[in-house]
Amino acid sequence: MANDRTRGTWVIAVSVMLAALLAFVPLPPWLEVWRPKWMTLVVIYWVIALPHRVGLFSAWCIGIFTDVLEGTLLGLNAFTLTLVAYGSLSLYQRMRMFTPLQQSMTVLMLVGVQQLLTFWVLTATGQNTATDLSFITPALSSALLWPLVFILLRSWRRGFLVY
Amino acid sequence: MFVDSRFDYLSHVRYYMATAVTPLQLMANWPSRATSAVTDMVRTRTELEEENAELREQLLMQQYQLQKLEHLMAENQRLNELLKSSAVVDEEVMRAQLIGESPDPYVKRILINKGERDGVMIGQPVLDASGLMGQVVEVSALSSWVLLITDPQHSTPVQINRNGVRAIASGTRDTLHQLTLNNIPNTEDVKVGDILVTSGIGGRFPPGYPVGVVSSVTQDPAKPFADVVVTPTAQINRSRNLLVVFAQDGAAAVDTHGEPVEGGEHGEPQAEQHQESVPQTTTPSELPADAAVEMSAVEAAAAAQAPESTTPASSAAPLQVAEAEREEAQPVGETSNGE
Repeated sequence: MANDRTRGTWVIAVSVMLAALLAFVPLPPWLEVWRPKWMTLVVIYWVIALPHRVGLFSAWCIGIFTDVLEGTLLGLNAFTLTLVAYGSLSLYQRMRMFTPLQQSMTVLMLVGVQQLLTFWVLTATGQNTATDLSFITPALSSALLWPLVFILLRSWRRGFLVY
Repeated sequence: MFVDSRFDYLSHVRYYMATAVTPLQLMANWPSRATSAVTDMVRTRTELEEENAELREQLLMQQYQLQKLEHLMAENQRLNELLKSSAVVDEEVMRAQLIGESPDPYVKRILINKGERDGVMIGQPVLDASGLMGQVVEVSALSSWVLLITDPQHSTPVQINRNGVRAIASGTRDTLHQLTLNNIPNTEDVKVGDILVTSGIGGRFPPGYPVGVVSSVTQDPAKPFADVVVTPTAQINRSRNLLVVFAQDGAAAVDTHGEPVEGGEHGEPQAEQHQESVPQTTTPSELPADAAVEMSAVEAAAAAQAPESTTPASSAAPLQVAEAEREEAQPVGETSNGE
């Protein structure tokens, strides 16, 4: 039984690595504005699927990793991802019952909040250059891609028997 | 994260973590490399021959220009000696390759494959074959981040090649890579097609590297300053092969405060040094707006005192011409040919 809690940790790690790759792959400029927040999607999935294993601390670690990868302010993604994980933790029971559309809406809200927090932090540290609502576009694309991510990760999790 | 933005404590932590993720960044860049490798492989023979001929022609032309350059450089050196100004600092360059870019579309930073192991230091200018690209802002063991000159947080001290007018070129939030000139009075002598080179003021960038070409000038009498849009000469979003500039002695070109070449009696160097939005890790970074305004005042004051020690990029004569033209101050009318 004790085995259960550590089993398949590599599955989670690999999914995070894949998300990191997707988050860093160069895209043409018009598409880049619409780049989904892959890391956030993966964190939300694992939090609602395995709330007893992936929580605030894991989210924070993944966030620090993202920061270093993307060269952003150290702690920016850590902070926002921790809050997203907190949101998902308090919602996971409902999220599991939702239809895909409702789930997408929730993801839209979570990623939107994350983007807004990023925006605030960047403004507070004087690095923000955005003047419009364009920081919301990744939230929209993330919500659109959520069902796909969800199905993929779920089949993967079940395939590798990670509970 | 506030600690990171204000202080330097975390730079070591960052350095090691950044080194650790470098392989991942390389991997993420692999698809685009693979495509370009494949396109190289499947070229036809005729294409290669054509390219070869073209390159040969280019080489011929450039060698011809180089012959002249040697002579001009020697002459320039002699003239500088006559004028008792210090010798032009020679620079050395190191080749680097682009291996990634910032995923945020509004943050124009790129990752290059040279890091501390290769001697890269924060603040070094980065060029491509045709102009200035940016400066190094973060270094890990094997890679470093370069802030491009078109980033909204970056400003480059420049000079118009034609008449020596100095200005500050700042990046824009535009996803197209473009620059604007800050605080250019409506009466300033700036024309479409003017070439901007680094002025060397501030000591961060060596003088004389091409930065951009003025692509449109809009003068609105209702506004105190003209809108000047500049297209960078460097192929900011296409170049994969870059050059990292070292000063001759092997040190980074960072600390050249008060070097006589810079014409530093007016106290611009310090102010300029400030203006450059250097890494977020070392300086408080909310300067851009006010600092720029402050700067232009200093600059204007400096410009008003005509004689100044020569910079290698422009000799004294064109500068005085510039002054004269400025006094005449004929409005050029509205000209623009934006993209």
